[in-house]
Amino acid sequence: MTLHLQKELGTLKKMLLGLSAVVEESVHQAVLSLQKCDVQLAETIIAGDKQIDNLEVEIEEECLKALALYQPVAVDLRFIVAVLKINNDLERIGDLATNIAERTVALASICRMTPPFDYLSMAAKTQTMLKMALDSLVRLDIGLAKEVQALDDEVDHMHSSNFQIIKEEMRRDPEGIDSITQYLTVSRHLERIADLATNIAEEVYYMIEGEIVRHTSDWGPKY
Amino acid sequence: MSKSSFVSFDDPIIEVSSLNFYYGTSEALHNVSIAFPRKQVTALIGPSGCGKSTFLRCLNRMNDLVDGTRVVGSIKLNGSEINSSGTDIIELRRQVGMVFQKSNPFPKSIYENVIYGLRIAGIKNKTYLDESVEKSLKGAGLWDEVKDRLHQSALGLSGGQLQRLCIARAIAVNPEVILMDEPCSALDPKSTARVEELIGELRENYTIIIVTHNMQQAARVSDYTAFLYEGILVEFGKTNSLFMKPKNKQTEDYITGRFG
Repeated sequence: MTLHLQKELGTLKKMLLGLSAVVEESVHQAVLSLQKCDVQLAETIIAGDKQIDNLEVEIEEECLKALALYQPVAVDLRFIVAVLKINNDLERIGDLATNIAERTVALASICRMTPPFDYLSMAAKTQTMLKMALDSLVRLDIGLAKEVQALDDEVDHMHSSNFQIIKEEMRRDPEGIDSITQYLTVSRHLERIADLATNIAEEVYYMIEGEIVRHTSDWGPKY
Repeated sequence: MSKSSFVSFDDPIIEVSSLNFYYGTSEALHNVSIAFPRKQVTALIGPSGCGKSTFLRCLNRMNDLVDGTRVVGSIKLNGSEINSSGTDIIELRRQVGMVFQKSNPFPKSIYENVIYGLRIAGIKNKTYLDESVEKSLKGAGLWDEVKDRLHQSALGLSGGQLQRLCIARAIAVNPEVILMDEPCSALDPKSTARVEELIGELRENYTIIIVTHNMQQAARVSDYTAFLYEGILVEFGKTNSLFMKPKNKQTEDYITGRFG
């Protein structure tokens, strides 16, 4: 019985890591499509979201099966609950990657204009957070999970400063509002991805420590 | 290990300090200190042979009936030492009743089974006995099923009904504590659910200490859980926290089925 559960948990972990890899790649490609103004790549990402959705449903079903069949407790229960939530977060990140790819399509005709702010360094930081959150999951590394939370403040800060830049840009160039707002949306999507990466880190923290740190800001590293 | 390393209570009904128990020369319980909260359900869990049942039987001195056993340490019920020579054992077992793994009805009528303890205590008042039967059977959730055949043999009842009859018999003498030694292990899921429900109701009036092999059952019915391993009390705390995030690695390994 317990061997069955251990096998099941192993399967779940493998499935979740599979989804992680797909989602991480999707975010990477979405940013690349925007940078290269590559509509074809953007459309591949948009079409690929279906795969992410399917994986999410499969993982959820697997979690429900494990709960129903084995009534796990303690670390096993926390693991499954964390998987359920991370699964959800990953699916949302996949959606946001799609949203960014849609901005690429929308910006296609005006893509080559200079972006109003440096979204690439924001994207790089966001992707680093996502990678760290997923690594903290793989290695059950609580220190790494805490670092993700600290980085979230930096991305939030970048987003609000982008917002200021966008407002000024709109005043300066009212004709360019259409494209400028597209970039604002990109900034918003990246900020959301960073939030969800933080959620993943919080779930990893919960899995290891058994303590829910969501909505608290004091669990990260102190600088 | 002192009880202060675990959860403690202001006014525990039973307080066990540094309890050691021996079967001949072999030590079955080692330095167990634990306090039981009043009108709460405490589950004792642990692998076979860890000393759960031995411990439970210490609480109303049922081990006195086993040759070659020896108790060292203190067990206080409402502040009074139960292992002292002056203890009235009959009175102790009235205050601390017991329900066993296998129901043990007497080959008598349902009515006589319930009032057995009262008869032993010399009570003859028919009205009082009638009232006790009704109250106890209601308390055990059996009244509606047997009220029309109180004077028929108890042996005609189903397994689940028999176990509830034994619970009725235990509560008829108005105990403070009910010890249950795997009360559901011989019952089907439906009867188990009924007994578990009953434990929840009995908790209003009695302190319950239950030994169970079924971890899910411990999680469902108890307020507090104690984990024993090889005669040692490894962890004792609120059931919720013990099953969500045990403090001890051994507890975690046991409840997740990694050993034991």
